Amino acid sequence: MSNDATGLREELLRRFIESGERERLQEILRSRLHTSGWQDRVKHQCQQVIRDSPGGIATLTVDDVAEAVTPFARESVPEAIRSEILEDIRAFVYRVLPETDP
Amino acid sequence: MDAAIGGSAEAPGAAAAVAGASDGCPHIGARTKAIIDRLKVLVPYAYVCRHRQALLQGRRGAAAATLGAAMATGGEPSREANREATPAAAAGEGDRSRKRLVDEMPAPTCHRCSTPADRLHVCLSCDFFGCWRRRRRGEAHIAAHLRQAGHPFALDFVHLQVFCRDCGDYVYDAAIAGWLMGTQIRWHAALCDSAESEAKRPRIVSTGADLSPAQARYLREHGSVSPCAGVRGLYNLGATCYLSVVLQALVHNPLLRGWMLSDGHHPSRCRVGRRGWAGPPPPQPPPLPPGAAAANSDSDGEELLSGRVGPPPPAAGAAAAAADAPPACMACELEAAFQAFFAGPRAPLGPVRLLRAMWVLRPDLAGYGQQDAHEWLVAILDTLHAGFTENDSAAAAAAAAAARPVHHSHLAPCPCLVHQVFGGVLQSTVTCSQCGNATHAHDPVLDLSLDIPPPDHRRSDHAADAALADWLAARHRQRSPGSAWRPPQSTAAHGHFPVVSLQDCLAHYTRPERLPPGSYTCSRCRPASPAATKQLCMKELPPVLTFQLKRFGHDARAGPLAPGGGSAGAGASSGAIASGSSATGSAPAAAAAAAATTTDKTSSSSSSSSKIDTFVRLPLHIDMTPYTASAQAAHAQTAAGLRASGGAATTSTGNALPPAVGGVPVRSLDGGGSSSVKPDDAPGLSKDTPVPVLDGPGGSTTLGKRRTDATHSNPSCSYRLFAVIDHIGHLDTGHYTAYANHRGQWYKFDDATVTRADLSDVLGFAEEAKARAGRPAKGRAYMAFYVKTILDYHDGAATHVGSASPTPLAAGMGASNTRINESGEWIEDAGVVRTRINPNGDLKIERRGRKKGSTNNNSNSNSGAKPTTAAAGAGAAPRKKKASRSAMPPPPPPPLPPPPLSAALRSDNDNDDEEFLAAGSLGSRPPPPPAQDSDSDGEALWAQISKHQPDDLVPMASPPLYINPAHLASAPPPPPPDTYDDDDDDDEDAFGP
Repeated sequence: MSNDATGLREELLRRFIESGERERLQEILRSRLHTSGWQDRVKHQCQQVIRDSPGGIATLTVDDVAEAVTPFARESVPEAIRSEILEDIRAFVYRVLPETDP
Repeated sequence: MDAAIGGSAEAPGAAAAVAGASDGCPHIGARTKAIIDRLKVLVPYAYVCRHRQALLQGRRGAAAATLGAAMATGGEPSREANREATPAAAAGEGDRSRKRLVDEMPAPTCHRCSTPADRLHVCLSCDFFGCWRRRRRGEAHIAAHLRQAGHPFALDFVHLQVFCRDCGDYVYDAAIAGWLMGTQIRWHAALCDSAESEAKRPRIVSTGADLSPAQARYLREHGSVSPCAGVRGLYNLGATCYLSVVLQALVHNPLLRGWMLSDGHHPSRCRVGRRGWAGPPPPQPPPLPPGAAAANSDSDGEELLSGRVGPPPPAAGAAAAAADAPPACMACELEAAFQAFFAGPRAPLGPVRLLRAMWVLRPDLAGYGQQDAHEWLVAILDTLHAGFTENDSAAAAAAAAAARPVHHSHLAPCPCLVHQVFGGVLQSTVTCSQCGNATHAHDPVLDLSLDIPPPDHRRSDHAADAALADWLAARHRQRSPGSAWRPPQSTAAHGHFPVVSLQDCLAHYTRPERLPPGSYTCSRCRPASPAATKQLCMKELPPVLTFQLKRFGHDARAGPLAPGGGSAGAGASSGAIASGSSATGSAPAAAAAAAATTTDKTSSSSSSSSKIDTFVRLPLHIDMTPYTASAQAAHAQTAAGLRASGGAATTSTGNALPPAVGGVPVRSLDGGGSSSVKPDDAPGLSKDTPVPVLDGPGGSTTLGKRRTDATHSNPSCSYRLFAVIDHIGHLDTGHYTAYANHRGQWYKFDDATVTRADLSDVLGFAEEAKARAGRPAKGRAYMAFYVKTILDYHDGAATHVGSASPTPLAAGMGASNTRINESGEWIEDAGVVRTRINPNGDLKIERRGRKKGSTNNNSNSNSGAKPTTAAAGAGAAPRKKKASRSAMPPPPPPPLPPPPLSAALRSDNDNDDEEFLAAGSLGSRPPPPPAQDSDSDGEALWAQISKHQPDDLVPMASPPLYINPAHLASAPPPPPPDTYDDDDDDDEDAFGP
């Protein structure tokens, strides 16, 4: 069962990417987040993380910064944008897998 | 959400100076070349995978995709090793279907878990693709592979960063970063082409001096960076904070800076500034009392303003000299200011001479009173333009220049620096709502003056958004209770109150307006007096976008039309209404803008209107695509299609204008400009989304093709903020401060005081939070300056052929003509000899001007397996620059530049975070020194921050050149120049895609 589930996920992802839907949604998402100022806030947050790090930049890796900032970044996505993109993704999934029962 | 953190950037920081001068990862060492070889295969593949749809959208898309495939196969080393990355390359150009492309270039998947997402990385030693998803804090697949197989490096397939196993982090290597930068520039060109055809795209004529490789090498070896060069305060000479901020914004304008510091305007050669100088220039004059300056400069100023007609009568010059008030040249003064800024001392400057020059040139601005910064910016640009033009016309045939009016049409742009840098073209479209007949009028603009829409406009939409979100959340919970995503319980963190952003102002500016009846007569259905709509958009975007937020003067709530839709918009609309044809405005925008501003100012001080304090959020990066003419046309088409098909936006059609065009309600302007429209009257105004969305959420069941078109952003329309001017205080009295980005660090300039600033200060995060929470927030930003993230250089003077041939900016600067074309080749033209150095360091010398396209063919055939040349040929065919007319052997050894120049150039290029890129002729920028040259802690911090925290903006342009000095030194002497007919040059100019 778990094999099936992972297979399904991969297949979905593959179609998601190869149909161009991911690129399209990425574009929309990027533009929305941009317009909402999210990107600037996250960038600022990244700078804060680096400045606040005791060892400075030398002891930080990209992953550390990402880990520290991800909660903030996730949380600060405006609700409307999140809903819209999620709804689009959901629509895609239903389109690709019409027989799936939600 | 990786997009924010991962960013798509290259390794930032100062970049490739000399190959091997890497100061980043110690493990790369001698493996640079092998890594780059591998990247040659992988990076084009990555670009195609990432921008598949975008590349397919344009006419050139298929070609670019083919090119990508060709490039993927071009790299020999691992051709067999990587089956996936090297799909079949051979295919006819142009007619490749998407299906086929998808088949041939499948999206890569993780070799362990077969996921195609999750930050794929590819091993740089073998064929392994692995994802970066950590499972239960375990090791990512790619990391596990690197450890087990003992392979040292991997490439982030999405963000194109090199990961080092031993460092445990993404690493920076100058040469690799430089190569990636070059690739990015080429693919940027391909993406721009797919969004907009090359011919339509406005491009910049080179703004910088031509440097020969030898000159560049000299600068590289002898230049030094003074840590704080470029950051200096300016003394307040008596309420001259308006001058300080404008000057700071100009000094930190990368294009202006590059031009000025590369000897673009040389005072000793300036014909304007030298006029009337009998001997050595007088010492720095003290600030003159305003009365004296205004008095004795009246005639002089007048003459200079109208000085385009020819040389002045000698009597005037003598009189001026006698009065110790030599004619002033704004360009000379600005050049002096630049030299002073970058010379090294850190003490504040007193911009006395510049102020005096302005008083002389513009007596109406003289005086110790407080002035409007925007007005001053326009005045400085105007006087700069006059200075440049006068020099040019004096150099050219004076009579012809005098007879020919300065052209501002977008067809023949003014070649002066001001218009090359700031000049855009605004399009005003008047559409007859009866017959649909649209007429366009084009007007040159130097800046955009935006009204600030009241935030109430968006309240309803926002409420709708919130309601929709609630509804969706409810539905979502109902559907899949076990989903990982939970809607946050409280949205108080974001606040419910809308914040006006710059995009809102732009959307407001470019909204369709209904013209009052009778103000427009349609040329097709003349007898009727139809209603019509007017809409503004950007026909051509300038390299540097200047926004003025109209906080002063006019009461936006009283009547949006009263002062015109922006100073430039007023001109545009009047032209459109009057002629109704595609007339091109002839009045210089600067003058119009200045006039408008002046009147605004006077009216404001006399009326009881108040300063608009609305907080306006400035984005760090802005995408101007939605406000361009092409986007609006596409949008209109989509809207029409939607209406025809009975879509959501269908409205009652009749001879009256539908209340909403494509979901964008038209604001009623009945009763002329004086009548007011309360914002509350238009509750449905939904222009909060600058990107017009026709399908609602979930409505994209038809694969959203239409919406893709409407939202597709053109990468050549993306800008980044580099300076902000704030105004604090009231209408009649207040203070200006400026923020400017200098080498990746923001600084606050408050007259003589310069302090480091944080991004949150610049963008006003605190005020934004207040505004979001519904508390009163004060917006201070008055002007914002944006520069294109990637400059798109027009490599040739082809557009000028046949006209009166305005000289390109860099013309006449030297005997050699050097540039770097899109494929990263260094091309130097000296007489009939063209020297090409391709990115691999191979040097080739050929004779120029054979047949059309011969050079390109030669290079294609001769360069063997060098995919970069093919890139230029197929993706963005380089235009040949107008050749220098002198039949000389390659240039003599470099002249010794003055020390301030070299220092300035060095510091100018040692930028860390987000310097702009140049597609095309990067040759004007000598390769920057290594990063350790910057030793102020801010710089060091920034260098490290940007090194380790990639950003989606592409950082600094290391020119994609890999010139091995040994190659240069051992270059074979060029064939002796023989007599050669220059006419062939024109053939070559005509050579194009």
